[in-house]
Amino acid sequence: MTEKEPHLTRQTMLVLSLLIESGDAIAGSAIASASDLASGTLYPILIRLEKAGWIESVWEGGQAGTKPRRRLYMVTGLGTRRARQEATEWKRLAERFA
Amino acid sequence: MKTLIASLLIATLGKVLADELKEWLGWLPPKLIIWAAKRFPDDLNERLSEEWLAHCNDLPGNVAKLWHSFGCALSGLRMGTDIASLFLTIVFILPCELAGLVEFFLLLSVHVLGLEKYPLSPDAERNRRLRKAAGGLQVLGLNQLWYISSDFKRGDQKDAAIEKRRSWIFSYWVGAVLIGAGDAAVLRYRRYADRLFGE
Repeated sequence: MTEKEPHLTRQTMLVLSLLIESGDAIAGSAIASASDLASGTLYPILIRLEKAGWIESVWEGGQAGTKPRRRLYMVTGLGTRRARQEATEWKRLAERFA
Repeated sequence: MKTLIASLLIATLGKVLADELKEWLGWLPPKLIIWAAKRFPDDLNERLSEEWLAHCNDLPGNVAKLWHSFGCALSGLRMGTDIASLFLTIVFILPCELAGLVEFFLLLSVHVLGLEKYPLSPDAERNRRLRKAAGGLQVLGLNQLWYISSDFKRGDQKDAAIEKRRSWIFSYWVGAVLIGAGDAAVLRYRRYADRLFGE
């Protein structure tokens, strides 16, 4: 489900960097504690990134209906590529102020 | 005697109130989460309520759970597409109109003061492109506001340190908040209209 490009704020880049670093699927709660982002900031970011096709998510193992399951997020190839591109642009911008 | 009775009363009432509060703190987060998830379209609301409840269960203590559920409610209000969340953001419409006025006068200053001669920062330029791609949303981005407001400080904006640029925005925070509110209202209206009438 690809939509228009997400707005790459510092928090969005932080989430992407955590997902790239982990190299594995991680739950929203783990991302929240690692990034110190509040749920009201984190989940809109995750929803937008997923809609843009930059990340994807699956349910963790377990039967639906017994207890709430975690949703595990992982970064896609497109997400990794765009995040790295953006980071390079930011670096170039930062160099202008050095 | 009076002191003893007062102490007993306070201790008893305190205990009752604490128990009551504890019950409410346990009851409220799941309700808020389910309410927040319902702000989203059908394909997302069941998924989000399960995911957010699982996140809630991972948190230690009722206060953390309540904080998380407030965050979910905020997500619902920010991203929801139903009539209720649209109604809740109606309060943004007036600031939106006001933001339009602020924007008009700021843009006027751009033309009168000739600020367009200055190039946009790469960040602002990227935002401009993103906004154009998002359907020509004609509301100023914060970066542009930042640049324009800096003109009133007799701009040395090209060479100023990042810290100084940061301080400018605080001088104009009212304008920034209004424009942010305007952005939110316009985006919410568009999303709702898209949902009703299709792209």
